Amino acid sequence: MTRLWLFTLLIPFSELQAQIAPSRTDTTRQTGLNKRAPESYMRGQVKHVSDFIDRFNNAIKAENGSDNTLRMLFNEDDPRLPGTGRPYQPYASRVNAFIQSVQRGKIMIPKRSTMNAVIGVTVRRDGLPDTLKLHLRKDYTSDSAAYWHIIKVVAPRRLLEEKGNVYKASAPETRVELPPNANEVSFLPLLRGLNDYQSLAPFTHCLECRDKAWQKVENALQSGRMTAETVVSSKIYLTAGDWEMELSEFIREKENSGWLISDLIEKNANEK
Amino acid sequence: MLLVSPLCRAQSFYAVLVADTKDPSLGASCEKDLEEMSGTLRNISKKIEYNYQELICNQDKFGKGGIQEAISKIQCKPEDIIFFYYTGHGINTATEKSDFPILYLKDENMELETVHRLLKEKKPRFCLTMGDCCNNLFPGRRGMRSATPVLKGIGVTQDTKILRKLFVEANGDLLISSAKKGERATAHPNEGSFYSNTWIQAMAYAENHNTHVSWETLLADAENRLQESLKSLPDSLKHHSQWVRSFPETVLPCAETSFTEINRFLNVLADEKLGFHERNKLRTLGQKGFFGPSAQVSIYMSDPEKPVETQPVDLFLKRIVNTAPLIDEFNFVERLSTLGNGCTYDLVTLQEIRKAK
Amino acid sequence: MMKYIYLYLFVGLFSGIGQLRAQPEMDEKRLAEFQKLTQQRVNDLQLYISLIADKSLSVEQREQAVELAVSLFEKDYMVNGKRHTPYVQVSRRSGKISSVPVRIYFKNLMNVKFDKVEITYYDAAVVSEFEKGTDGNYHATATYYQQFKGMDKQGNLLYGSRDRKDIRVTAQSAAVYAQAGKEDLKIFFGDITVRDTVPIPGF
Repeated sequence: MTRLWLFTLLIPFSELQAQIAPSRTDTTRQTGLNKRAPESYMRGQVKHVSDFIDRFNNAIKAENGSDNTLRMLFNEDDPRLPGTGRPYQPYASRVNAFIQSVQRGKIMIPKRSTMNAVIGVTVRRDGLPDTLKLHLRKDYTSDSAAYWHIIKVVAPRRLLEEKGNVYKASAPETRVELPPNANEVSFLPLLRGLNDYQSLAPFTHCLECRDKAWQKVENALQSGRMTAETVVSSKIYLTAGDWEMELSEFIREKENSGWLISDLIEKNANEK
Repeated sequence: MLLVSPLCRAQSFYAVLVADTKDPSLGASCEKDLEEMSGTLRNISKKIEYNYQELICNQDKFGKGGIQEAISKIQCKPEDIIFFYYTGHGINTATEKSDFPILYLKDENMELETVHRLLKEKKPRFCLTMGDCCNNLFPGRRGMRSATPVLKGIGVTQDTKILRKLFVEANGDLLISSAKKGERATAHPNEGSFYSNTWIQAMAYAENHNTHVSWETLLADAENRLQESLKSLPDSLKHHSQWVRSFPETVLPCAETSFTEINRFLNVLADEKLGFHERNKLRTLGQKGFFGPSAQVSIYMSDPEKPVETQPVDLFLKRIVNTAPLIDEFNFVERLSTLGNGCTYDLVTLQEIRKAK
Repeated sequence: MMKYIYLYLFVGLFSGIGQLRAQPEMDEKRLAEFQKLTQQRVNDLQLYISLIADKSLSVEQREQAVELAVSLFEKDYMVNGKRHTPYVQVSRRSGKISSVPVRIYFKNLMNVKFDKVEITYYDAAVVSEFEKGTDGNYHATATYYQQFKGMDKQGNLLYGSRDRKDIRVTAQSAAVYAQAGKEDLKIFFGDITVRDTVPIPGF
């Protein structure tokens, strides 16, 4: 077999001259990939929920400046937060109380944290568009494997109002545990799973969760009257001490973007 | 400064290291070369159980006088090894007969070939003389580059088989220079000379990755690595190592698919300066020549025993042709690769090094 | 007595088989290597997309880039009698959401209606840590940003957008690899979501 590297000699080389070699500078590659330095928002954006948890925990662990860092985890465009031309709102006090509470108590979010999600899914039912709300929870097994599953269904109002018997359709026995990062891709694995199985059952593991609303949606899916189209909204709920943080995803070109706190709920607060 | 260890009866590895560490432009680079080569040779001699005797000619001892004094101190026995290394300026002239450089010393110049002859007259079992310097036809500044230096360093393997093959079983002499006549060598201002770095790297990889090696394949590998490190330079600024050996080439099994050939093949496929169609053609030819029909390629990050990905060779070769802009070089691990029938590989283990950002 | 011995052997045999199929426990260092590999494969995907869209290249090279891009993704498999394939879902600020199988997405990219396409990437690709799933695999998300410009022959800008892309990455454990004692996880890309941040400045 001919030495194949000899093919490289087909490429002509110019006569060698003694010269000083210029220093090499970073250049855009001639072929293929055009790469640019990142815009500042790309670095600052909270891209994944795990990133949010890390930033939160690092802020709690930090000695100084954690107040600002925690405030940066809120959606700065929230009209309820202090800002130029904004009237004072009670929500701002709640935020202050939250920050003081978690800082004082050094409350961190566990890395393997149970979390909840509420997603809005556009569906087509009998040819007409509608919206379905699904509540999901991320749980862990004894060997720290994680998965998402459905715990509650909020059926479209028109479907709920329909009269008719609610009968238990025969559901497939398959149990499907959605991947732990389904929330990072708009719960696409669930969306496609609903269309693959035409059923909520594989994703709803608790029998108590299969209430009347669940059954109505299940029937509509199984009969083909309803198909899931897209996930249009997604909120994540994380717990830190006595507080529940609602996270929403803000896709925009500013540093304050990505997964940010869109609401705060004090779990043990007494309602007046 | 001359460092001479006490002589003893065990066989000796004499290392004469000459470095122009006072030169205003090259000094820092030569200092680095000296440090690396000293460490490398000390390590080699320890592994092959030779008594390491180092004679350093730098600073005020850099020059013909220093070199002659160092050579006079060598009391060589027939089973000893002499290793001479020079890093500094070099020249050549149109009337000079030798293809090898003239060492540009502070007091009086010396031909590298003359140094080699003086050392051979000591009658060691194995004599290696290496000059990493310019070999061009008029004196001038050596090419300096601020590029990323190549990886270097002797590996941590305890296996001394390869080193024994190269140093203990060798009989004769070897003369090496980092640039051919008319060429200028290159150095990094602080990280050392390019050829010295690739020579040390080739030695490290031979020790860690090979089962079959000879001086010819090792120096061919060092030359490959040198060309890889120079590939972004215009052709007019590139240089090529050269060597002459007095002993016959070791016959290796499957020489045409040796690690040098495969490394070279892979690095050519990943050379974005060549056109896609040329490389694509080479790919299909080379695949049949080097690999079995269902060969697999295992890629590792840091530990060759723990690859992160295994893929069919067809897919792998197509990938490297297309992702050439992202790839720096490959290191083929011969000892973890499997030859099938007819001198083609059924399993290839290699490390893919990506370009730094 | 003998039947109890057989019972113990029976149980022992099956628990041994259970061990072979169990998810390999990955230490942090090993997972970090797979994270680094995923980063490289994301860079590869970015390059393939650039090659596919580059009309100045030969059809052969662009088709090879399509083949390579597709090879990064998980293979189709059947679910409930239906073919399950990875999808790209694109959500525009206008509210329009569309999704196509990944293979079709790359083929469409080869045939875009613009005379010239310029794709730019930002050095900000991030791969999250791998998290263990109950399916025996590890899961991560790769996120990167891309600017797309479609132009006519004269170089006039006809369409532009800056997008954020999120790819679900699965490190699949495979008994085959575990048996060979060499590789314990294999990286596959899955569904991609594309969301535009804002149209490119000036467009």
